[in-house]
Amino acid sequence: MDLKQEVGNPTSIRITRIVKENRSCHTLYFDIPWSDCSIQPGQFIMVWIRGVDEIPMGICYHDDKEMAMTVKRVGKATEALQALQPGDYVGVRGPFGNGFTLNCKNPLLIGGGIGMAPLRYLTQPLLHVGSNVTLLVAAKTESELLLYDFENRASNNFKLKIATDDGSRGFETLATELADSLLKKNDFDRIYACGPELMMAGLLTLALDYGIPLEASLERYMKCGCGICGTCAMDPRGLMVCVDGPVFSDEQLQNIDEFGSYTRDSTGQRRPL
Amino acid sequence: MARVARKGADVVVTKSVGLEPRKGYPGPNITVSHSGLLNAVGLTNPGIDSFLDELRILKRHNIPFVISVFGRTEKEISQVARIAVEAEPSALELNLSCPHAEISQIAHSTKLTGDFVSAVKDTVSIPVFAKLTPNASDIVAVGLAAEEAGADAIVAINTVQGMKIDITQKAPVLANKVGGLSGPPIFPVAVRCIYDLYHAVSIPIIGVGGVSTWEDAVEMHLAGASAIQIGTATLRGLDVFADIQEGVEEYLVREGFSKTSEIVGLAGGN
Repeated sequence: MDLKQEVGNPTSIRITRIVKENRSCHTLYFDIPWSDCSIQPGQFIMVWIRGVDEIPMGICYHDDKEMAMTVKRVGKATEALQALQPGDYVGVRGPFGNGFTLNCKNPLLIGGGIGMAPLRYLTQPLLHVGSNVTLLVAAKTESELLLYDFENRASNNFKLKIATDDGSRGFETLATELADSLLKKNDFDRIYACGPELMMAGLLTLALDYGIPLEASLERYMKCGCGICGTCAMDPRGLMVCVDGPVFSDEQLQNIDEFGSYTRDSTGQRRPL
Repeated sequence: MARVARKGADVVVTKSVGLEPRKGYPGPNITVSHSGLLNAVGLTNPGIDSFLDELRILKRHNIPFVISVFGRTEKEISQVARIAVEAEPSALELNLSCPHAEISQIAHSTKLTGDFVSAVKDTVSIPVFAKLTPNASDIVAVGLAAEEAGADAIVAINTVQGMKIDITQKAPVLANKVGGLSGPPIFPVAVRCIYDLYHAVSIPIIGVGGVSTWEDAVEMHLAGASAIQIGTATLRGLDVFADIQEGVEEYLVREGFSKTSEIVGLAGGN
């Protein structure tokens, strides 16, 4: 039994370029470290910042030769990641988890804050296969919107909607409210969501009301990323975010008691959301 | 844990739990070297009080479980043990030997091992297992000390101390630098320890260390293990429990045995 692949073929790579996305988010680009694996939208990698920590990061961009992750400053590890310069090394393992499924024609994508990161990567293949993508980008305020290059994307099969809690840009409304009005007026066949869990819990209710399949990407404290440590196991059936997720269907989410209710801290104790 | 039991494990052993909530080390907590897993998680746990609530769920499902407990002192491990029995586990396993935490030295010493086992035996009335380390210079002497102190079984072995250096960044990968090696590379080490212990002690031995196939399980039984624990091999999925049980059953039938206990220690000619 060779465990190397299960543990995500650990390797070290250099950051090639850095793009500042907004007030608190940077995107770090690097060459694809693994020659023989494909990386699906929704999957994540474990990133080791020497002397600091190792944390899970979503993939926000991927092409033939390079990939990228968007880093929002939330603690010591992300702060250290943002301090890196092109040419600096990080350790990476992965890719881990499942991805979003791509078989839909009229999807609604909803990204809240940093939750936009995996949806940016998801948008690429969806547009490529000819889906009509409606993308709802939401944040508390304009300076926290993670818009990437979507504003400049002129295309018949791509619609961009923006919502901010304070109305500093786009609609002054919550992502769930704007989603509700979009669902009323359109004929979507899939909802993809990533963002604050309470937002996703609200979207699950909407998805069930409208009878539209939903896929949402969850976040939990993680140590191994590959299903051995159990840190990210969720009640009651022990589904692990790292190997059974991070993307879960509406059906799975309905059976995860803790979804929208609580998470666990670094010691494994419950913490309300 | 309930999921593991549903997948065919007869008993589940919890991760080690201590008195207070504990974060463990920063990452990386795991890496890989020579087909083995290296980990230095650092005894992350929510503390025995919070853990009890989770364990009551297992109890409701009627899943037999063993609680692994640790403590820095005899007093502390006894305190944890006293609270742990409230969850009505089948037994307690004493982690006396996590190779990368401050408790690492207990099972290196016959005296400390005896003292810790005695302290817990004086506190609880359920079976107590002592988990030993292959990093000790004389694991058999430590096993004898555990038996003398009243241990009901020995669990052998804990992980083997090791480390991994990233040649690109020229630095140890694990945040704790040193970790515990598990998985296939430590299997022969475990077999040797169990074989030697089997000929020295009269209490049962629970074998653990690198088992990933039914052949490994049979070999470990032949060395002297009455039961077998599986950890690292679950990385490949939880079917490992059913696969091993099935393989061992078939082996027993093929070789003319009626139950596993008939092959325990058979390689020693006893």
